[in-house]
Amino acid sequence: MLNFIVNNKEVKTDTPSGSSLVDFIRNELHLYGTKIGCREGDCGACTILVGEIKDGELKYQTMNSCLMPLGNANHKHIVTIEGINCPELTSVQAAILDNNGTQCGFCTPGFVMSFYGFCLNADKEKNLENAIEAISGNICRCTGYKSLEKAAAAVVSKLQSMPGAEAMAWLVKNNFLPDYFMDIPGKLKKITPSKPVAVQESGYIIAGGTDILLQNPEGAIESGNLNLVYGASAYSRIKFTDGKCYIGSTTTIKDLKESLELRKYIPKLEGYLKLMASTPIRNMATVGGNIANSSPIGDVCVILMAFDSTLVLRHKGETREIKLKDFLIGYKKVNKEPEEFIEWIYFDLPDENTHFSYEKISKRGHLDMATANSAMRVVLADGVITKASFVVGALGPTIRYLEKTSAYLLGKKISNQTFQEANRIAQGEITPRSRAEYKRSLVRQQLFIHLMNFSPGTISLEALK
Amino acid sequence: MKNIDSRSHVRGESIYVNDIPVREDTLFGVVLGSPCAHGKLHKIDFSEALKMAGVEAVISAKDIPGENQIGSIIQDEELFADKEVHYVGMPIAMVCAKTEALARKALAKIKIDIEELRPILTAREAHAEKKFICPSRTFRIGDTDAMWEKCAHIIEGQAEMGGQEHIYLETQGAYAYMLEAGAIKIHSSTQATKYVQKGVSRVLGIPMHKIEVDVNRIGGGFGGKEDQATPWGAMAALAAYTLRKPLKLILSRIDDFTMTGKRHPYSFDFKLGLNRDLQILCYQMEAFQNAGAAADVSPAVMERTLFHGTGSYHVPNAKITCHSCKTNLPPNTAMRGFGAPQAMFVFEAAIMKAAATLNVAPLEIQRKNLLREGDRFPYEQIAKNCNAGKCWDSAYEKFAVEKLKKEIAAFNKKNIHCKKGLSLFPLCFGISFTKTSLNQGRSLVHINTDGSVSITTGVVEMGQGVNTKILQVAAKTLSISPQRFTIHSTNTTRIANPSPTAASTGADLNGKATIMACEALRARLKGVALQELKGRDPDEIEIKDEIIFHNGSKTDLTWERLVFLTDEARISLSEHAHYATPVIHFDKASEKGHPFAYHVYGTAVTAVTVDCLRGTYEIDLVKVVHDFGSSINLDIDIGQAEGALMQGIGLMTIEELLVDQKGKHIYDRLASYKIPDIYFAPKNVEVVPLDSEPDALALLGSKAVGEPPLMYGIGSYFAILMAMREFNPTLKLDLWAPLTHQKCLLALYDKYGDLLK
Repeated sequence: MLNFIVNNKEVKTDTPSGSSLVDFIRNELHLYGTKIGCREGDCGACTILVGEIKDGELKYQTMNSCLMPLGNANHKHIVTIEGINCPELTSVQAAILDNNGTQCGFCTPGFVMSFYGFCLNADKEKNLENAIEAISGNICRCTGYKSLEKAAAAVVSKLQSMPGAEAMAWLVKNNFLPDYFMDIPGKLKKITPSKPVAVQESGYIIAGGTDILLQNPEGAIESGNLNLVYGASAYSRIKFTDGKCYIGSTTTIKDLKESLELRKYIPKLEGYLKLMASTPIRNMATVGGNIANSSPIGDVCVILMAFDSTLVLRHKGETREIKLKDFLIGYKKVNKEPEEFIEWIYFDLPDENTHFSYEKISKRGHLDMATANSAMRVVLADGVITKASFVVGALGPTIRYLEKTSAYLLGKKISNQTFQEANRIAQGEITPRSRAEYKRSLVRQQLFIHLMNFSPGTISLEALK
Repeated sequence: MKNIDSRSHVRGESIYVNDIPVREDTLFGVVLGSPCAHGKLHKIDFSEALKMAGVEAVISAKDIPGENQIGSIIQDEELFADKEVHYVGMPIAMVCAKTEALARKALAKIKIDIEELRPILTAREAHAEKKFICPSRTFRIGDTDAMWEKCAHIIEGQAEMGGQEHIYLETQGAYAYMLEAGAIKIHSSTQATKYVQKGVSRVLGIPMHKIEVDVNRIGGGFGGKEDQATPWGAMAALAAYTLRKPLKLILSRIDDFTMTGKRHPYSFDFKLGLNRDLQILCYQMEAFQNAGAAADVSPAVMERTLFHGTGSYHVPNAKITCHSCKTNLPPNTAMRGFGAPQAMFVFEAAIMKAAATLNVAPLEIQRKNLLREGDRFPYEQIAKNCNAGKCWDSAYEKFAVEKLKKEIAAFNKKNIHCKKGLSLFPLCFGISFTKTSLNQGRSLVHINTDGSVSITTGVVEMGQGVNTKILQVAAKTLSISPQRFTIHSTNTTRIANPSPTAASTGADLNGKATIMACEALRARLKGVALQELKGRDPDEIEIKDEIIFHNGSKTDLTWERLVFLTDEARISLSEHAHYATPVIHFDKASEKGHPFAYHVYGTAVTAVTVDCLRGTYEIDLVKVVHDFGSSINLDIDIGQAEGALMQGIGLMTIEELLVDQKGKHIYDRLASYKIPDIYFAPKNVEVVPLDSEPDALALLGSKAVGEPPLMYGIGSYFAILMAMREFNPTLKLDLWAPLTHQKCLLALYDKYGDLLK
């Protein structure tokens, strides 16, 4: 029996945990404001808010209800557009209306909810850039977005006087939220068990669900024994010990992206991960999920493999370690028992001589699969490469660590000649199957960009001519 | 006035087909599409699917009581494939089950035996094999053959333009159930209630009066629900009719993508002749339209390609030919612009090629040849109130194009990895359905005895704000508060025989009809007022802001009282009006006439930055001077312009449709077919209305706005190309839209191919 709150009502249900939340909202709760545009997290029309008590505080974030397993709603507060409505338009709704940000209206409830994700996110500065990021997972085919940008600016301006503390009370008082929100912390505490989410020893493992509900929704519904690990407190964190960074497997992409500590070591990480999926998907998807899926384009995998990461896995009480590059063995195939659980991913923390670069090209800049993505990590001593790893995605059944290219770079200074030879070797190591000429060009360009990032003064465009 | 639907939209209370209350015994349909592009259908075996609990029926061609035919212009399209399949996704059967999930599961158990035949996938291939939808057509003006030798420069080439998927956020769908006495009601997400009604009538073999089609609103259409909402309405109706249970059919995004047609891909041959002063003397163009497997509206799309063959330019000698080629793709269909973007693209491509060959800036050729007042189009109509030059010059000055050019040159000098490019694009788009008979609008206005007003028209609200405009003109004509109005759903029982909501004409046609109805009612009310106020001449009476004036003085007679008195006097408070656009005509035999009520003009300035290391681009700015006439609602009209522009940019850049050798779409869902997101939107968009004369045939002088601004997106293609030429001056001009990131990178490094070996 699942027990959670939807808008201002408590819900108890025996509907299978693996069903999609949007179907539950529309078909069982008969709340029709949440729309279905694609069922693959690519349009945002089904965006809802998910609130949960974390460290004693109620926090909200947006999720795509089409990809969210119902079980992940357990003990949480689910807010649909109906749960936002007040007798008069709220400040967010008025901002969209005033700026002509709605035409056919089908995408609009999703936009409204994404704006609320921004309003309710205490960690994000209330500026236009963050407001736009909050709605960047929402597709609108009618407006061309300029009016929605204006709406975003209006929301930002309305939020300028919001205090850091007691934000919820301010939002209720200032016509953003209906007043029942003030009672939610108390109600949620009542239904939240004292024991946090824990990983089971067995069962069909589902974390954020963003890939499973896309690829195999029926499997998720029909599997009686689900091991729902999303938010498992033991592994939803990043820790730094003995010169190593340990990322818990249920850490979300959002948490990874916003980790201030990790940014000290990989300064551009936030920018890299902004190219991955969308805000609501990053709120759901986990690092462990991205690895376990073994998608040949997995952005996080490419980055982690360049750091030569190691996984810690547990199965029936036993743990083992394996290098990420040995773990991914084929298209959606990994070196793992079905019920074996990835606990941690760890890698050596980069020192001041370590340089890292990540590149991703897709058909559209954001919320798109990579046409080619790659990462390079080098250690430079007096301009000479002493350690190198070059990892490419989207070039075959699985992500590839280019051994020969990486080995070649050792002992070399970065120059046009080094690039040209490395490129020659890399081109020999890859075997793109589709759009081969383009993909080969992208590998060449990305290799060039990585090296240029490390040593802009010693390499030039001439190398490409 | 803001769009009247905004309030319910932002509250999530707007009702689309999938939100309508359903009866408890409602069944859900999932359609089985053909897995192959061309083949003989030998056998379908439903038996395993039917064994599943909760599966009610599988319906197919054999269950059709009427005709298995839904073609509108030409009767060449089956509802369900009977003996042959003609494209991947062609409906073969529909599973009807208690839930959608169950229906989908059952679908997987259907076995079909198809003998595969060779598919034809491109227009040129079909042309070579003489597979046509309809006879080819040619528009001519002057004498091209005689003029070529007088040209100082002749530029020849080929161009290609890909299709485009509509991506209305609400997928296709319908909900159908039986009423009494053999009547049936269908809620459909359609732009054309009549087409659904006619389609159902033919499929069920029952007359149209037995069929009620209702549309509250649709979640985007863009042309994709003009002809192609019909099959889903017909399938739902067929199931409801044969099973006697309500059935809901909402296509999944992937099914919608696979089974429905798109904007037509085109291939072109062009030949452009100029004199020494860069004046265009001659233009010849042959277009090969990829129509897909059935006619749909392709002949009409082809016609608009012909009408816009010379773009926004004065061409004294032209020969424009178009072939509608039959291929094994889903039947391509209407989409915003309707054949015009393709025609305009190839003309601009010809100019670009000429400019590159002659080493001049494209805008020199463009400005010199813009349409002027009194110029003759190849179809004989004369350009009147021609604002082409006015828009261009106004844009040039307002947006400081000279300064922009200098800034871009300075940027390009300084930066080696990134280059900027600039383009101007002039627009001229004809307003009216090119099929003259479709240019009629209808409105039914009821004044209720409490003074409130209910309006139904033939137009479908799909986000374009047409109902808001209807309400505005009605409130203005009756001079009462907008609060008194409700615009009701579009319904065949209230408005019969409506034209589809298409060709940007919805507001003009149905708004004018609404004004006529309101004027008739106003005259009647004034007559009652005259009697009540004991006046002599109806002209003494005026209704202003809900108060009745007599000889210019305010009286005690209010709107509500006047309505009450009219009803007491047994005078009708209802009026149905019909509007037919005057003036227009066209003779297909001579390909001459006056097909358009008026033309819409504009000019777009586009600047872009190309990242030449990555082969990606950003649109820096698009600034437009657009001829709205005298807009009655700039909020709505600018919204239409911005949205259309974005869709046009998508068409020219990142939206790529590809089929594999077997005719299957490679990019068939939102995960792989990418439309613009908020980060792809140009950083700076400015749409400035042109100061222009209102046109009498536009609604209160407010020109139609749905389609024309889409074509501003064409500017982005050429701006990107200009930037690429800055990086690679010997760039090969492959005039092949969309200019994807892939094409961009490969062209930038075209001569460096050996690096890959």
